[in-house]
Amino acid sequence: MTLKKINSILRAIVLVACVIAVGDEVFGQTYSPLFPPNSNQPGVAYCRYSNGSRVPYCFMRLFTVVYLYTNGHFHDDDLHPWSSVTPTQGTSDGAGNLYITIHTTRVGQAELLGVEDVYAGLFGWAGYAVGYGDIYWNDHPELWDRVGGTDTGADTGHGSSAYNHWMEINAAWGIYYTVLDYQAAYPEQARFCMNDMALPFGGKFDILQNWNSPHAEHDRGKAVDVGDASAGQCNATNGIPLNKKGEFRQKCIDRGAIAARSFIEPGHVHCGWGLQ
Amino acid sequence: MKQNAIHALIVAAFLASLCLGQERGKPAISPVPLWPQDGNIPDSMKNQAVFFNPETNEIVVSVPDAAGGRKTLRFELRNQAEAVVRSQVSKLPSGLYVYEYTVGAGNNSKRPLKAWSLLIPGDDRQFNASSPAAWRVEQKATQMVDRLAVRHAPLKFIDYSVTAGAGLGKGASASGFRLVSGYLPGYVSSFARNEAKTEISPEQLATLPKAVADEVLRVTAPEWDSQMGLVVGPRFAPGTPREMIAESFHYVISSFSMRGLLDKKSDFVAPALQALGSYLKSGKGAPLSPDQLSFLSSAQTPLEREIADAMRLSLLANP
Repeated sequence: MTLKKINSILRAIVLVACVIAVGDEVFGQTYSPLFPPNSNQPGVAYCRYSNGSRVPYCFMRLFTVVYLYTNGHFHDDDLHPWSSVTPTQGTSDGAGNLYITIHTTRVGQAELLGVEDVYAGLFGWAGYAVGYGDIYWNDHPELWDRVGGTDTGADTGHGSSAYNHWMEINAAWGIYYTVLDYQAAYPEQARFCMNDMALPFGGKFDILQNWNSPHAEHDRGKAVDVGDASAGQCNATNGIPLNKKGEFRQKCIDRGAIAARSFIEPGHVHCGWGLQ
Repeated sequence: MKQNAIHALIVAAFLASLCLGQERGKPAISPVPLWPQDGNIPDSMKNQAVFFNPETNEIVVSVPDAAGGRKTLRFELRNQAEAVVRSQVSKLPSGLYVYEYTVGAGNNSKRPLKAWSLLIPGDDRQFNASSPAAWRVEQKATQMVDRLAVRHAPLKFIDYSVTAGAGLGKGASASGFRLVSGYLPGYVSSFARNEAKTEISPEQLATLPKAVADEVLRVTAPEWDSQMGLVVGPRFAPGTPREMIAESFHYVISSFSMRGLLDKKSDFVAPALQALGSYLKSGKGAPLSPDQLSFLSSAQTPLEREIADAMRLSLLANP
């Protein structure tokens, strides 16, 4: 059976489960708990009586569900990955515990864990999301124009430039001071073209809309692409002159960016403050 | 061997009698293992310090003490009260929005509802909150931010708590919870709590090893220590991109559908998810036309109408 078919079946199962189940955990403005990408999160599933007391030796089934179109992923296909849970079924021990682990993927998004008490035919739910908790909105309209979204003519499947300008706090200060340093050296550079940083909760920033790299440097929220004069999307005078790209990269490094993670690339300078 | 079999049979019969005698509740997830019912931590779990006791709804913290034994702390979670919230939103000529709530204790409440909180934007300068008699309201800043915003959008708690009486018992309600805000309506997190008989103090927490204290903080996060819900409240600053507002409503409708609060096959839900999904996938971010939002007029149930009203104010009337 192909992975595509398995995913289709999973989606069908999820649809049925969603219709018949009543859930517990929801979140509004925040995703909590928020689990890091590519991590293993332990927990316990248990059955209970209506008075809350545990049911030992209870057979349960477990599964995960993904919420579509969260964290700026406005694309979807049959290969859409989301976290798995192990085991997918099992019987609790004499104390009522069925030890489980959620295995997150590298995709940041909102998800849901479902547990079925098979004997009772009842479902319980626990909401969670995958992503990083230390990523923040990073925009300085007085210094730069945001590009890289549908509002500036680029469509990576991640919406407007409201979704690709999120950054880890140290890296955010790093690029801010880099821009100021560069402006101090070249006052004629009034503004800059700021392209991809990270998605709001980080995780895979799949610009090819296939849940994969390239662009892995942007998954952690510690990298930014600063457009050059050839980049388009914003006024060419706001791009870094082609002959100054090396100097801009060096100023990033002077502000803490890692040399091995900072590159001169076609259309932009990529400054990176780390992958972890 | 024969003795073991008889023993197992007796245990199985006992468990079966329990099963037959008691109604099952929904299964649940705990971030920590369940506390052994006999109070003896098995050798395989000696390194585990934080447990949950479902019979008493307590977090049990057990750490080695200086005398070679174990020190045990117990404190209750406050998630035994369910809030049923009715909301009403109106827009004043000044452009401000008025959010009014009636809060009741739901049928699933096992304890009286003593406190009710909303998580709302912390940077709304026009914000004002008032409470009914016998309730007080407090505002508490948080470290949390809303990431459906094109600004650094800090969040704060609006905490309502009972000042007199036992709180709201099952079926009782109170009205007069009122917020005035410049922010457009969306769904915000709400938290209902009962009073705990025992709570862990900051001093007790400070005596625990850091890893244990961190785990205690994890299991007392709002998602475990309260009954969470989604309520219409001030959410979006003027100027918030429509795609972010649409993403939020798509999530809310999906979540309510999964929880069985909305009928996925209704004339409102399926077209709403289809229209919002198409809009988000298009990536255009342009204003949504009345045609794209034609499903709003199909809202039938009270919850569907509540969602539709909020969407009209945030997505249609928002220039």
